[in-house]
Amino acid sequence: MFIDIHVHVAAISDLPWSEGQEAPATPEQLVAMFDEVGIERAVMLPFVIPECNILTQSNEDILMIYEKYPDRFIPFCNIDPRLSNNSTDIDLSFVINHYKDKGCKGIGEMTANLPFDDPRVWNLFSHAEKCQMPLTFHVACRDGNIYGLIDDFGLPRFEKSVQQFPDLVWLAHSQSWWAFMSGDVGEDEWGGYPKGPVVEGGRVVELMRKYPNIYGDLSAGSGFNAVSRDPEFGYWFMNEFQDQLCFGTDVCTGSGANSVVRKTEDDAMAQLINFMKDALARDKISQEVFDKIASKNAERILKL
Amino acid sequence: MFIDIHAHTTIYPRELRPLSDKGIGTPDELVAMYELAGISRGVILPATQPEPRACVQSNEDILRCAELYPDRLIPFCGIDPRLQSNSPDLDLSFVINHYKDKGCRGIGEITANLYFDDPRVWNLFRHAEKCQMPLTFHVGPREGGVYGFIDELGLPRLEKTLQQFPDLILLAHSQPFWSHISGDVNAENWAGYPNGPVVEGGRVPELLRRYPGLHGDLSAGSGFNAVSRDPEFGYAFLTEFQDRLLFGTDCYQMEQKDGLLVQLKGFLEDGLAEGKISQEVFDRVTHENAERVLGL
Repeated sequence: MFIDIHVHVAAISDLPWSEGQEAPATPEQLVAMFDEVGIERAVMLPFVIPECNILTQSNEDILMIYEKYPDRFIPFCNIDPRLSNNSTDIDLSFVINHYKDKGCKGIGEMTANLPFDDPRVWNLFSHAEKCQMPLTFHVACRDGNIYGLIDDFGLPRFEKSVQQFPDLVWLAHSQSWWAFMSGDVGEDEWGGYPKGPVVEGGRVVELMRKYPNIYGDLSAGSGFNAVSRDPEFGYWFMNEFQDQLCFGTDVCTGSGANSVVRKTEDDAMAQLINFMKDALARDKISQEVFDKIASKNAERILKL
Repeated sequence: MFIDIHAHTTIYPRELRPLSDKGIGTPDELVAMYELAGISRGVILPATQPEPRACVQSNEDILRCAELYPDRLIPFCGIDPRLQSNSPDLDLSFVINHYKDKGCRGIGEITANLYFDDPRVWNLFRHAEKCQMPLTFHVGPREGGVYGFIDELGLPRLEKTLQQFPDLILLAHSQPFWSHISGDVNAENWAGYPNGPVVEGGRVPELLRRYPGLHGDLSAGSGFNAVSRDPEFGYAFLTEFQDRLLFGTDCYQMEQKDGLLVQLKGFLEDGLAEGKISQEVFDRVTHENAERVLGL
């Protein structure tokens, strides 16, 4: 049984991702996919923040889907750090708790293209911590022409944030996070999907070891690449951090859903399921480790 | 007949949204207000940018409101200049045309707290102009602690924008715009509602005279204050710019039924009754300019 920590879905919009592309997956498309591959429930991350998509959703749009499919979807709310006057001291707890009361289990995907340690962003972190809501974030390797919270090479701003908010549960996602799996990541590749053997000394390992409240969201090509680029290292990593990793897909279109079902070799989302099942079958990870990553860690941190 | 160029509503009932979301009412409530006041139609503006409220709204929400009252409510779409990748060269025409095809007649209210001449904002203006969609904006008097496009006293960045996009129809709104109706506006009061006699030489008449794309959205306390603080000036202003001014309320809840909903309407009706403005001016400002600008 899998809980998917990271999906996007739209019920009332047919705006494509961009010209010539599909619209985001509908709840019905995703449920069909879940049934086929054994995903019981999935976390919906609304497109509230302008950066990331040309579609702007409201948290209310997402809550309507939850109302229709309460057993299959888990809503997160998204809270833009610039809400209500672009200020550093707005009481975001009030907004977060409103959505928490409506059933939201976390905040994200945080994709605002603001520095990780911008005072408005830290205001959000402070209120997320206070409200005990986990936060899923995307890292950007620059300001502009990209989405996500901006950090520098080596993720120093993220580490400063983790030190500042020790009780916040972080769900780390994106290329610029997972590229630091290996100690030899270069400045020209940390925005992408570096391949090949993992070298000791990666910042991901270092940070997850130092801060147990950092969780790895294994969704998307970035999460899959991190654990599979060097399979033996990937198995070690899943064993070592068995309490801090969550399965996810980041499926966001109807054909994306189909590709998960197809389980083709070149499809990263299908491959994470296959990679974990294969690791279990070959005793590279135990049933306990498999269960934790597939669903139990998500159940624990989302208090399901 | 009145067409309201500026109103807010949402399909979602109040109890679903954070309290600080200003208690925005449903389309039923807005149309009931219009019935009370004798307003035929209104433009509904989604709050898709984070800055103005605690609750981000989707364009789909506003389209659903318009579907309920196709003869009464006219949807605009909100287009954030930071969409998708926070970039100055994203093809926003694709998004704008998507919503134009669904019935949106304009863009706004744009409230992003970015500089008026930020390359991302100019990218939005460029695509709005290309798609022939009017754009309603709010001016922010500073960066942070406020919402709206950032300008300085005297609105130099707005003027630069008007020069750059001569074919764009801009619907100007908010305190920092309307305070410039008077030549004596200053750094202390340009973000508010300055009262008293209007002094010649205001930037609003100057810019309206110089740039035919600029239009005045007379909604809210700011628009009403601009024309009513010095009634003789106000009626002369309405007459001079009769082709460029549009009636509006900025209403969003029934609690405004005795205030925003009726105050500008009353001022215009009084002006007509007292012979301060002609029937022609009255008709243009109350609805004909809106019909022309929105292609109704």
